[in-house]
Amino acid sequence: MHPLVALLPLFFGGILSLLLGASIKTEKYAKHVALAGAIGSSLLSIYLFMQPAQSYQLTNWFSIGQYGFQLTLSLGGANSLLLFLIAVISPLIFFYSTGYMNVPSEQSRYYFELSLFTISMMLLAMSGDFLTFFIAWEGLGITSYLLIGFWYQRDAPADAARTAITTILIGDIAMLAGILLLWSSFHSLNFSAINSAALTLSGSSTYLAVAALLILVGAFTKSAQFPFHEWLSGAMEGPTPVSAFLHSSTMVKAGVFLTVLLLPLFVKLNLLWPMLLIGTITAVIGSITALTSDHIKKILAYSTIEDLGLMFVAIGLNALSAALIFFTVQALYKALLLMSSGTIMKANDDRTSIYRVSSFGRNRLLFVSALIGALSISGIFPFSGFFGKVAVDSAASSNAIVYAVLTAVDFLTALYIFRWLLVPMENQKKAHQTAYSAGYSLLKKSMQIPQLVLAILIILFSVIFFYNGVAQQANLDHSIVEMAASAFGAITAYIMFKKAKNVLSEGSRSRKILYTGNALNLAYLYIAKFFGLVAHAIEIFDNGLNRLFYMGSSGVMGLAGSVKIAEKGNINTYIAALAIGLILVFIILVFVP
Amino acid sequence: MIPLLLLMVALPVLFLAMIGVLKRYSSLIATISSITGLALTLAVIATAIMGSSPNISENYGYITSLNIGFNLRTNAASLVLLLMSSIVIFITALSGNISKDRERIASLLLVLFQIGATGIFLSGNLFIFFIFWDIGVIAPFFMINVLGSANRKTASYKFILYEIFASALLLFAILLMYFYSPGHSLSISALASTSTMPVGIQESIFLLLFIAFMINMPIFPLHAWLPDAHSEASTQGSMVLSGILTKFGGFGMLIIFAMPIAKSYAGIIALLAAISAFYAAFLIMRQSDIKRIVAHTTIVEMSIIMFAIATLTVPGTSGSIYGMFAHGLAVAMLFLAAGAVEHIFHDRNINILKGISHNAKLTAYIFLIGIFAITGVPLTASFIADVFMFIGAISAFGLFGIVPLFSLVLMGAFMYFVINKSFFANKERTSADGFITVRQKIGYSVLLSALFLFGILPFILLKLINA
Repeated sequence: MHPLVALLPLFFGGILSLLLGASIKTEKYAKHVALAGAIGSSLLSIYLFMQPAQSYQLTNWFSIGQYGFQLTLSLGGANSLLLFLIAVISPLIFFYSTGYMNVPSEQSRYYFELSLFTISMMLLAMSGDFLTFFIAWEGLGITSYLLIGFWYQRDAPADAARTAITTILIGDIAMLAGILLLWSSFHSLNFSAINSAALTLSGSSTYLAVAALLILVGAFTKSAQFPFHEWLSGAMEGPTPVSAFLHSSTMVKAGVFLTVLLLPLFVKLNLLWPMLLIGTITAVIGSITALTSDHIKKILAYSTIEDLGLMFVAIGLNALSAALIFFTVQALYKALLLMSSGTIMKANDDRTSIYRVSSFGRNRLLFVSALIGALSISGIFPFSGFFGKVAVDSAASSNAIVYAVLTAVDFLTALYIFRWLLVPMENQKKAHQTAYSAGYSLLKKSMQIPQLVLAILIILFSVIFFYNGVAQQANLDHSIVEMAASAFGAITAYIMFKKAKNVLSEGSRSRKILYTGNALNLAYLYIAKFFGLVAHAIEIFDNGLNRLFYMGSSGVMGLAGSVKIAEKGNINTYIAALAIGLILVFIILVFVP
Repeated sequence: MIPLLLLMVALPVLFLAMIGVLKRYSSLIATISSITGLALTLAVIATAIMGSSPNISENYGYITSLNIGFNLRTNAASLVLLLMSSIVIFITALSGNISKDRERIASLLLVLFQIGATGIFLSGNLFIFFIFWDIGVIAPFFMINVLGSANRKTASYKFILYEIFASALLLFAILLMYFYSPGHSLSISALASTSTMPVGIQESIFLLLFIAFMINMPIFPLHAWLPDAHSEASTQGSMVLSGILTKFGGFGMLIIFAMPIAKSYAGIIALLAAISAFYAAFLIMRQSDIKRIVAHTTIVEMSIIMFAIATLTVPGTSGSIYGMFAHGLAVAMLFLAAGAVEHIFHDRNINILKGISHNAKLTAYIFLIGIFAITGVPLTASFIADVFMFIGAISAFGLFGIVPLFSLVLMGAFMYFVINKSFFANKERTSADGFITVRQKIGYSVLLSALFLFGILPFILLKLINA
């Protein structure tokens, strides 16, 4: 089967759901059509996942000189893994959306955009060369822009969408520059060709280093690494199913995925250290900032930023398998946690502060699945998140500083996620909150079933890890350290937020110290202001230039005016001029030899 | 054999006369004229593909005593640009005049412009190039001066002063060429073999023509006419000015960079073009008039195209031709959408325009896609152009070749700011009626599908360009 066939059900589902939006009567079927498309694509993708590794050349798109620009699809390895993750999570997201998106008039637009987004991501997962990858990459950027700004009638989502697309634009152009530089060196954009050509390189090349760094900037913008991470927390303004999708298996994983594909090139160029450095910084910033937010989704957004930082740390340490294990487990627990927060918001009239939502302990299904997600993200045995965390920690064991930082991050992760879980529990005791807890009993099944499936998958993956030997590779020492840090974090969270809830509440001093978002946004503001200033200076210069041309032209006009005086028709003037002229001629003839 | 090239120039003259007679059907006649132009262009392209050579020529006697003929010829660049200009003129005639404002004179000027544009891209010698150049400049002058908005008088005189200055330089260069070329040949292909002339004369011809075309393109520091002219012209005027008139300069640059002397100036010209791209990208940030914003993006794009031409490499030149094609379509679409915004909301100031997407959803999305197209998103024609242009630039200038690409970041970032501020955020419903006519819908869909068609299937044009 040709891999592109797997995209067709989603494509037709998306188009059809857009067409169904033409009339209000038919619009309610849009979700069913889109869901059917998503399930179809998912099944076909799982079939592709089970195929042996293979690459498909689509077409020679165009050529420059004798070198062709082929579009290639590739299966196997990291490509298949990502495709599998999307195949598992995308139908759950569509299913969850059918319950979550109950705005009648916007259904068809939503499912159209979501289908396109999923298609882009699947194409990205299948891409075997940089050109296909870049097409999918831009498709992701644009569809995510549309989805983040889905409720564009309100200012906040529109602003968040603009921040996202601006950050993504920087990455896109940097990446295009990098791609073109790479092509100029290798005359090929095929990933495997680039990697094999990189192995035969001798000596260092500034050219390639610049290209690789530009590509890395692209990867960092999309994967929300410092200093490009702020857009991701803003992206939470989009519909929750989109956030759940964006943060788990799609979009933010694109950058990590690219570095995985090009790892041999980065190794050869000795450019792993930027990933290690930026990844570590991002993980610390993400985990600390997650503590300072009250927004039920933004806590998880910063948590995603931290997760992505950890992935880059693993890649930066050249620990590919660790990165991929973490890559997999993170998708599951992050999708689950974000779905949970969406469900909580839905039951609480879309209130977002963890201090304002009512306890969801009453809804056992919700509570248990959220708990499983929280345990998995903190890396508690035997949930699958544990294996991911331990794999990354073990990879870092050779570097004492990174190892210490990662252990601290493990502690912080448990701390913020149990804050996320425990603070709403406490709200039950407040009288005015009880009215809202009724919302939990009215939740739709279509929102709860995907959560249940994901919770089961988290446990199922642990079992799979025992079978395929990942679990056996987990180092016991590092596991104990990791578990201890996490357990310590969880207990600290219990003490801090169960007993003394005022810690880290809004306006407290500790929060002001810990929250870095403001400083970063301020820095962006200053950069924007600087550009504005340059623009202003250039405008002044431009006006001056204009003025100069104006003066030049009016000078010519003035000259014309002066000449005109001589042609008034006054005979006296003419005679006088003639006489003066004759005298001058005479003088010149006589005195100049 | 049908004299296709002559028909392309001569038929619009007939239509021009018809508009003079049949006053009530002027708009229809202009549309028919543009459709005829498009059909003839397609016929010429078909002939070129079947004959597997883009070079077709037709020669007629003109001023025999001075050895000046009425020579028409095509090459790859002219075929591509003819295709672009006939599509843009067709859409301009069909859907540019939304408010049906003074249709007769608008149609008259458009057909006049069609003669000029077609003639320039077809001209085989510098003499008739000069004639059509002036026709192509006079028509937009009246589109600004008569049909423009409030500030039209100043803008139109500024425009004509710059352009007349350019044509004076052009004429001067033609005279030099006439006296120094062997056999008094003014043929454009003779420019490529000017190496026998004295170096000083070669330099003079090159620089005179360069400045003339530079004004037209426009490149910093001679760009000042463009923002005024484009923003004050009627929608039709803006579309043809930005879409086609600026390409006269680009086409001219392609001609003069075939001169052997061009090598010695290429580096400095590339630097100037790079500066120009960033300069205009920064200037965009200070604009608040939606048409001025789009006008400034033209300077950025044309500077990048100039940069690519100055690489003097095969991919760079092919990319610049493709880039002019893509940009002509994209910017015509942006101006069409901007014109619709102005028509619906009676305002062009982004500080006043709010929530355009609520009243004019289609126009808002078209504008958004136009921005994607000018920032070089894959699957639009601009992406192919960017790839070719910058691969040429890298091979010519190494790492520095990639630098002008980043002017797109500055431009795109501000465009998204505009989109956010005026199109999507700020839900503030106005009573404006966002009704869109069928003609506009056709206009949007033709330009959109052309942008994507040549972005997804680039081999159609590349076959011509590479032949």
